[in-house]
Amino acid sequence: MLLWIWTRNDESGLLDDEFRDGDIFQVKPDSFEQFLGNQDVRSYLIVKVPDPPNFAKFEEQLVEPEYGPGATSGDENVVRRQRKYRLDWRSKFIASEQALIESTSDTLPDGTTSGSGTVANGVVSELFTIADLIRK
Amino acid sequence: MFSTDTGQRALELLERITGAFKPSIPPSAKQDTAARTLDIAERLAKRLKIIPFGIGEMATVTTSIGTASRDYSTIASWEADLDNSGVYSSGDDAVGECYADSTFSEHSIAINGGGTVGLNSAVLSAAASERHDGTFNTGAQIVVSHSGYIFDSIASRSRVEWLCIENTQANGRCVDLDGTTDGSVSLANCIISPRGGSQAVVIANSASTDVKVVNTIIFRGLDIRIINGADAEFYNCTIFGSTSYGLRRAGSSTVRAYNTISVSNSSEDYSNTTDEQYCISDDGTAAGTGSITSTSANLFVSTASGTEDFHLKTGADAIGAGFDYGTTPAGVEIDIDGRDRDAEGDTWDIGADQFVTVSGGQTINLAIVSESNTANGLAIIKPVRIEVSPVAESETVSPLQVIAPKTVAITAVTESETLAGLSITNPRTYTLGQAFESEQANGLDIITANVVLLGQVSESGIVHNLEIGNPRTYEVGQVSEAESVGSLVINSAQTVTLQRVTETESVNALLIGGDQTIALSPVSEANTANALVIGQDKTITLTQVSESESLGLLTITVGSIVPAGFIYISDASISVPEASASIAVSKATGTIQA
Repeated sequence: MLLWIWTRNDESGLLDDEFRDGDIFQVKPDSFEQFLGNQDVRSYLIVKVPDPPNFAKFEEQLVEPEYGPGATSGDENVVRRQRKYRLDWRSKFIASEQALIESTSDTLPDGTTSGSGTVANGVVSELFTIADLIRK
Repeated sequence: MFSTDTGQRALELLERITGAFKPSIPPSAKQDTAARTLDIAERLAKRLKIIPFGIGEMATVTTSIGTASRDYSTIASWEADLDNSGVYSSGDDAVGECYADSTFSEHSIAINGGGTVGLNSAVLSAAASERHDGTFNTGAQIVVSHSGYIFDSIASRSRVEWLCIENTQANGRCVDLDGTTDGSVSLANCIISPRGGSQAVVIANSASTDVKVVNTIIFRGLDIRIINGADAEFYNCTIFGSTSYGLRRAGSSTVRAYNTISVSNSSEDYSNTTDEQYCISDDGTAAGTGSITSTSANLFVSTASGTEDFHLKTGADAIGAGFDYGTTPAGVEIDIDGRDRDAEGDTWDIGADQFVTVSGGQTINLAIVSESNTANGLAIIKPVRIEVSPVAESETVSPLQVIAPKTVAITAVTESETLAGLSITNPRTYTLGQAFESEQANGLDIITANVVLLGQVSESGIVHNLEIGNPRTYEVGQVSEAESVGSLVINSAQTVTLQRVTETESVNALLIGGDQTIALSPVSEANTANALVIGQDKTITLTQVSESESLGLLTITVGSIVPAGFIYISDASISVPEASASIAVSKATGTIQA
């Protein structure tokens, strides 16, 4: 499956509707790779990990936004949009690679990363597994 | 200062230059020449990264969203990037244009980014070529089965427009507008259907909510609910067929409706709303200034489930019954089809659609009729010229009626049953430029056309049962495959030309009566002219009849128009390959000469 990873520190990830570096904010099946946009791979780190057996559940729960109570009694719950899961992506890339990933106008070149991952069309594979996901 | 000529030329040049850029730099209306020129020049310079800009100097940054090599593949990806300072600058207007490459299947979308960068606005829209045609399931659409919202929040400075939105889950919801607190328009020109039974629009959570909705169609599903002190206004909206209330206010909220139709709901059309001006209900709950009572039968083209069309029908009670709100709030003047009521000087109708009357002498151009049922029920009377180009999918113009136009051109008809039921009476010229696939023109009647041209008819079964009466000229330019013109009947044509009939059985049972000139050239393969009957023609020419049985059962009846009753077969030989076959030549009077 494909994971969209937030790679910037311009938001705290603590307030409503904010992400934090490493947050997984979108999940798609491998078949979606052909549809990726030009800016998708520049703005985010997109990693491919081997599909878990129950992909649909992962797809839903990895990006499920958290809700909190409304302002007053009777109000509906309010979406907080903080993510529950993150990926420590920086630990597997050297500084120059991290700079490319953080850049919104560049992406990693096709080939092999310093951590022996594979990059094709901006998508990194063979570097992370489900075991690397962290519950925040 | 600009001189008038110099300034205008500079502006025109800049507009032509920027018009070639992607993303586009849209025009800003209501500026004088100098201001407009400066505005475009500044945006262009920024785009080209020529000079630094400070606060207040804005650009519109348009990016594409879709699954065919766009900028972003999902709405979530576009939205999350609104605070990316590598893409946007403070004061920019961000526009994400959705493309109908595939149906979007996202939910829990919040359009509320851009605060960190300092965007002036963020608009999720559909590219101009990808907008719906005023009916559901057309253009760019989001269809989801989800127990929560499709749009969780649309913040101030943000807007969703030109999308079809459907949540098919019974306990799901489509749009939450709580996030807008500045009184701006958050929803415009959308078509929303929670047909699975979910809730359409909810404005519920905050007394600080202050939001407007314009030119949006909402049909079936549950009510539009505004509670807990929110302030909401609806302009030129059409609400139909809720299984609960139509527009519903509860608690201390304020709900005002203007130029809005709400009918055929299970409970009140306007439930406890604060005001309804120039609105329509069918239960009398729209009681404000200018409001009237009507029914769906007297308003809409179709309310049949699955083929709803909430365009106003001819004679609809809503026509001309609205109030002219000019251009406030933003976008109120743009109807569900993109017609600018204000610029066109229309007398405003009630509802999302502005009915357009077409009278003789005007030009109608349906540039993009792209999906099924697009022009059902369309009637055009005595226009000077009609172009339908391209017509791409099934049943697109069924049952279009065109009466007495001077010219009809259907240049690209590509899929099955496209022209079923099409009736065109008395055109001077009728052209089917490209009819590609099976059964396209079944039941097509063209009566008394001066000229009929089928430029490229390429596959099987294309013009079965086509009847053309009394054309002066009939041409089938390329009929290439089996049974292309089976049972074709052409009466009293002055000239009939089948230029390239290339494969088997192409003109089975062709009947041509009383023609002055018939030319089949070339007729190249087997069975091409089986059972061909030609009666009383002045001249018959079959050139290049090259293969076996091409002229089986050819009958030529000599009528009185043939001078001296002669048939000439010159420079030809006739062979009889089977012993049992024969050649019979009969005459009523005169002689047979070898």
